[in-house]
Amino acid sequence: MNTDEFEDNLRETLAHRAAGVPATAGDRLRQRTYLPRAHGRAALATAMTAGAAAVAAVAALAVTALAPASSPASHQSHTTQAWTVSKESNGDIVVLYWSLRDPAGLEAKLRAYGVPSSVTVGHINPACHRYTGPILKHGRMGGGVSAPGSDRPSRLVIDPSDIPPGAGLQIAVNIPYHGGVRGLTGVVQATPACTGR
Amino acid sequence: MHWLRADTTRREFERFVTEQTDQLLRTAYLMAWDLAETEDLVQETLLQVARRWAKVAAMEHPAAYARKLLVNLAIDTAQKRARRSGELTAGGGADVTDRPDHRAERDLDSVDTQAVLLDVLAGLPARQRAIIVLRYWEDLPEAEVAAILGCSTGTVKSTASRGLARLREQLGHGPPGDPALADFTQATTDGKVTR
Repeated sequence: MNTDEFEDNLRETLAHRAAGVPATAGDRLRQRTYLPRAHGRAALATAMTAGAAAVAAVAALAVTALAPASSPASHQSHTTQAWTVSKESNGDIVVLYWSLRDPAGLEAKLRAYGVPSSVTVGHINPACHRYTGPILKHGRMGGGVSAPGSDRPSRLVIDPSDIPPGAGLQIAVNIPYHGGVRGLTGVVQATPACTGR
Repeated sequence: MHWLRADTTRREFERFVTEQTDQLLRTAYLMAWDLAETEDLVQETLLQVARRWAKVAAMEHPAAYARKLLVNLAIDTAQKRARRSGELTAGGGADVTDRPDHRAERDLDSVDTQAVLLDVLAGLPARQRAIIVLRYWEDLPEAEVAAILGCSTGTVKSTASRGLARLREQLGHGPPGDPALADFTQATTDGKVTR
């Protein structure tokens, strides 16, 4: 094999390998919310960075994060065997869940608390689309997912004031991901088909 | 007014993400050799670009900047992982063994040469593989590869030469000292590789 043949082989090999990236990988990355810093406006940049932190905190709820909750929330609690939803005195909605056997129930509960929501297990709601408007920035949204097999619940804190008008919250868990599963949360456009309103 | 500007910025960045994500993914995959890590690398790259978007958008080639971020991020990640696991001393093929990509491997079962090349590529040190990827996948000139990696053109040449020699050696088409390899190495060192 001469040099040209070897180089051609190498290029073909690299191209073949590169073609192995599934299209869904790009789709997932394009669907995520990135908050570019705006030109030269410090105040705006600060606000948007805080907004990015809020969204990033929520997006960080991939199942790789291990931060089990220490105790159930105490106010206005709605309890099932699978999850609890409560509203804190500061307005935060706290979701504790041991499993998501009843995603529709959790979705309805969140909507009842005034959070336009889509909750799915095993797939992402195809009716949901990334929110493209201005992001608000209080930054309390976040949480952690407990270790598999743990008897401690996973915890999600939702600050409703971080969800802009016209937007809602998407929660998708147990999404197949390279032989494992991942969770995904993010701010999406509020539509009847996605978030109920 | 602020929101208007923010909307414009967001739209520009979203167009960038739409246009560049697939190419970044392919390059990252060749760098990382693992799909999950590939996505993480590209996501981190896009987040870093977003944080610096005001400056990046004004660049002549924002995509080249993103690629530079990605490549160095991939090398840093691989080197940190290698330090943790000692995989650099484990020899070629460790990546493939540790993190098999069965779909890609199945596609390549009947292509022996490619399979061998892939196996050796997977075992190359991150920086060496980066240079091979940038030269033979991205088709970048050595000077540009050197600029991306922050090293001299001579380092790119010598590193590429060692990587290519290892690939050829494993293919059985040119052990060190073989006339064909010597010819190839010389051509690479001189930057006059015939396409």
